[in-house]
Amino acid sequence: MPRRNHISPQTRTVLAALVVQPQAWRYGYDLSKETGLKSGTLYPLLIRLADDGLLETEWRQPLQPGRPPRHAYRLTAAGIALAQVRAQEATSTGTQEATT
Amino acid sequence: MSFAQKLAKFLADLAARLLPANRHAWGEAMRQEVRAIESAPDALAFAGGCLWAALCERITVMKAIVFTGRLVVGLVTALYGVMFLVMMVNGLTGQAVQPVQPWIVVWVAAMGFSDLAAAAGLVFWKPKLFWTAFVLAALPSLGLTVFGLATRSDMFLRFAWPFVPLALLAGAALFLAWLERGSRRPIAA
Repeated sequence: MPRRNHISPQTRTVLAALVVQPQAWRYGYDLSKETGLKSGTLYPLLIRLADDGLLETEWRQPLQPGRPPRHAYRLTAAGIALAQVRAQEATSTGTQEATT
Repeated sequence: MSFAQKLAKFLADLAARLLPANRHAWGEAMRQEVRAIESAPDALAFAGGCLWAALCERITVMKAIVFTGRLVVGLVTALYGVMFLVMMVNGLTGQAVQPVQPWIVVWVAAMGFSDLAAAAGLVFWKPKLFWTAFVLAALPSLGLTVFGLATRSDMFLRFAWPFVPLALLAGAALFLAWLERGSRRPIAA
C-alpha cells in the first residue's frame, strides 16, 4: 500500500464516504452530493486514489434502458484499510480533544 | 434539452478533450456523469467543476514536461561543460594534440565551469544563477570575437562558434520558462 501520511481533509471525506459501504459501487455525482465536494475537487482526488491503487473503477450499465453507462468507484482492499486507519485516527483525536 | 443542459454537455465534452491521453477514461467518465444528471443547474455546476479538474490535470502534465525538458537540456549542457574541462586538463597536462596557449586554457576553463553552473541553474531553475553563468560563458567568446574583428585575425574569429550552442541553450531556457508561465495560468492551458 502506498504511504499516505499527509492526506487532505477532502481525501479523508471521500474515503469516509466510500468506506461506509465498501462493496457498493458509487458514482461521481452521488459522491459529490454526499461529500459536498465540487466535481473539480472530487475528480482529481478520485484520479489520485485510483493511481495509488486505493480505488477501483468500473463502467456500470444503467438500470434504466437508454441511459448512458456510468463510471463507478469503490475502494480496494488497500483503500479500505487506509480509510479505516484514518477513521480510527480521527476518532482517537476527537476523543483526546474531548477529554482535554 | 434545455440551454443549461446543452452548455453542461459542451463543457463536459471540452473537459474530456482537455484531459491528457492517459486520462481518457476519466474524461469519458465526466462526460457520461454529466449526461446522467437530470437537474440542469446541477449538471451545469458539475460540468464546470469537471472542466476545472481537466485544466488542473493538464497543468500537472505540463509541469512534468517542463521539468523533463530542463533535465534533458541541463544534462546536455553539463556534458558540454565537462567536454571543455577535459580539454582544459589536456591543455594543462600537455596531452593536447597541439601545444596550447595559456589564454586558450583560461577560455576553455571559463566555458567549462560556466556551462556546469548554467546546467545546475537550469535543472533546479535558479534564473539568476543560470543567466549569470550564461553571461560568464558568453563573455570570453565575445571578447575573443571582438578582438578578432578588430585585428582582422581569423584565429580569434574561430572562437565565435560557441555562440551557436549558447543561443540554443538560451532559446531552450526561455521556451521552458514560457511553458512554465503558461502552466500557471489555467485559462491559457
